Amino acid sequence: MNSLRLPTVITLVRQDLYYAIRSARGLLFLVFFAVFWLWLFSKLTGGAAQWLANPEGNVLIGWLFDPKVARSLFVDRSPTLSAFFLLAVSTVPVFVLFAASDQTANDIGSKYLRFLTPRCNRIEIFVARFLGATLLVALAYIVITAVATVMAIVVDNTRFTTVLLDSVLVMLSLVVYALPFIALMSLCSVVVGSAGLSALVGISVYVVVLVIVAVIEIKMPQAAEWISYLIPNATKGLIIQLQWSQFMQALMLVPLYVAFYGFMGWRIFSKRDI
Amino acid sequence: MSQNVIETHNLSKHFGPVKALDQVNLIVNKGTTTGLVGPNGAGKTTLFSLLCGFLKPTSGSIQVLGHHADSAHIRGRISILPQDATLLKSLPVGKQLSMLAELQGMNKKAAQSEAVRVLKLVDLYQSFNQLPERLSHGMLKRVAIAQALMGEPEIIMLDEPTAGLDPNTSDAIKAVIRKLGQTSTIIISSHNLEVIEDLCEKIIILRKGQLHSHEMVADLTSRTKALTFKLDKDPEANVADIFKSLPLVTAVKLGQPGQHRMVVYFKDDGESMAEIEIIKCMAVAGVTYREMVRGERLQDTVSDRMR
Repeated sequence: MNSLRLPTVITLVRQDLYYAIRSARGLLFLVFFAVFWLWLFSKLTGGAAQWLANPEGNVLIGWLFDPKVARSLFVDRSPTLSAFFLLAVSTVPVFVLFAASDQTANDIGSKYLRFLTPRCNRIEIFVARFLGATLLVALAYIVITAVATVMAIVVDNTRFTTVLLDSVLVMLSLVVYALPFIALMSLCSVVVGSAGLSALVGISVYVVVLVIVAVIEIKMPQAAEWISYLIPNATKGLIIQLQWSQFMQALMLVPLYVAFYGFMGWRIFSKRDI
Repeated sequence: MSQNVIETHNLSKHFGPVKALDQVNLIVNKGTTTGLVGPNGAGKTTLFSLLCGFLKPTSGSIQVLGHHADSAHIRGRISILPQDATLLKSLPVGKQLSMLAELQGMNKKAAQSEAVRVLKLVDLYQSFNQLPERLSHGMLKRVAIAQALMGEPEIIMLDEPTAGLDPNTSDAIKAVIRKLGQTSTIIISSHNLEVIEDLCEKIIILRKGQLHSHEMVADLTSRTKALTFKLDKDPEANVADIFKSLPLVTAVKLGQPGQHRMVVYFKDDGESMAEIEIIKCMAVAGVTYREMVRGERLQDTVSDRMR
């Protein structure tokens, strides 16, 4: 009934990306993303991150994140690339919830989907919009990681091959970490009729659950841990140490999130009036 | 292969407690241009949207070209002019039409040629590179019509195809639709009964969410032999008296005040010149008219039924 035709999905993804870099929404994300990172890179160019590899810096990172994270990221690694990674992981929710907010929302509101449905199935539209948002986010993080890698090679005294290998892991980790957020937004964007509202719903859900988890954690840490698995940042603890073994664990967890949010989103999208 | 291109069985759609459509059973035959009419709130847009797959039925079923309305088998075989859908804001209309054509399976080059072809059909080729926001309401409507004309659809569903168009453009669009009707099954939803009368062979009348009737337009307008006159002014209440000398005249119906309309029904035995006798009679009585139509106007018949 709702078969997925690969050529149609590819065409839809291509068109989605083409439109994303020409629409106000896509341009706003890219400009905001670029300005933010250019500003941060300007702070890192002077080797400011090298201080984090010192014992004082390690203490600070240990306090902010975890002593294990501080040791793993700032001992025998490029501090600039590690600092970039920490900042990137911390800001992924904000950028991704914004960038992926309009998978179907605006098209539901403007009824543009009515031009598409005589030509494609709903499942093709739903999957293609998820893939389009994933590619947009992935491309943005790949480009920004490449810039950070070049900067790390120039600024730090770490071995070239170490930086290069780490940068691959950084790239993959960021994309894998972003995927559940994109899937969450595919769910949010089918329930509302505008990208702005979709972003608001996504951010609200994320923040509210974070607050609930924080409150419950005071009395019932075990329950809080279980609830925290509802939000899409559960892989953060696995990827943040930048270890291949833990990355592989995160990689196995991500499909569950994508399947869960994606299935919920699809159930609504397949039945809703457009 | 079945000659029924659309079939609905006990189709219902409820919006909360409101029954927008209730137990509608319909069959639309292949090659028939069918009009979908009814007053506001009759369920016309709901039925149209259900047939197009925009809305999901509360109960009942829809078969389009022998498949479920969601089926991949009908993609590209139907085309739709939705009434209130808007184009993407930041892309030129030509590019958008090319993108839609690509989704129908055309390659980039063919898709672009198709976009050019359909824009020429609606006389908008000059706007190929313009953004939608630069176009007037009527031009946007024509772009929306253009996308419905792409490819070789077996079914074309048009929601208010001439609304918002000037008379010349409206006539041009009607000519395009008429031509397409030779190869496709067309369903037109419209408040404009002149358009329906001009283009459709069959008419579906909805009332209060239910199927009121589904019949030939010709049957509806010529069931009784009649002449419809558009008069210079509203006729006198006793105007029927002028036809007393004509036994062929069976009834006279007057329009609502302000309509300046009179319908004269007559028996036609095939030999007498009833129509000429009626016109003569009016001339003698000094009743002048601007326009005369054989049969009843669809507008009047449907209005009477809706009352």
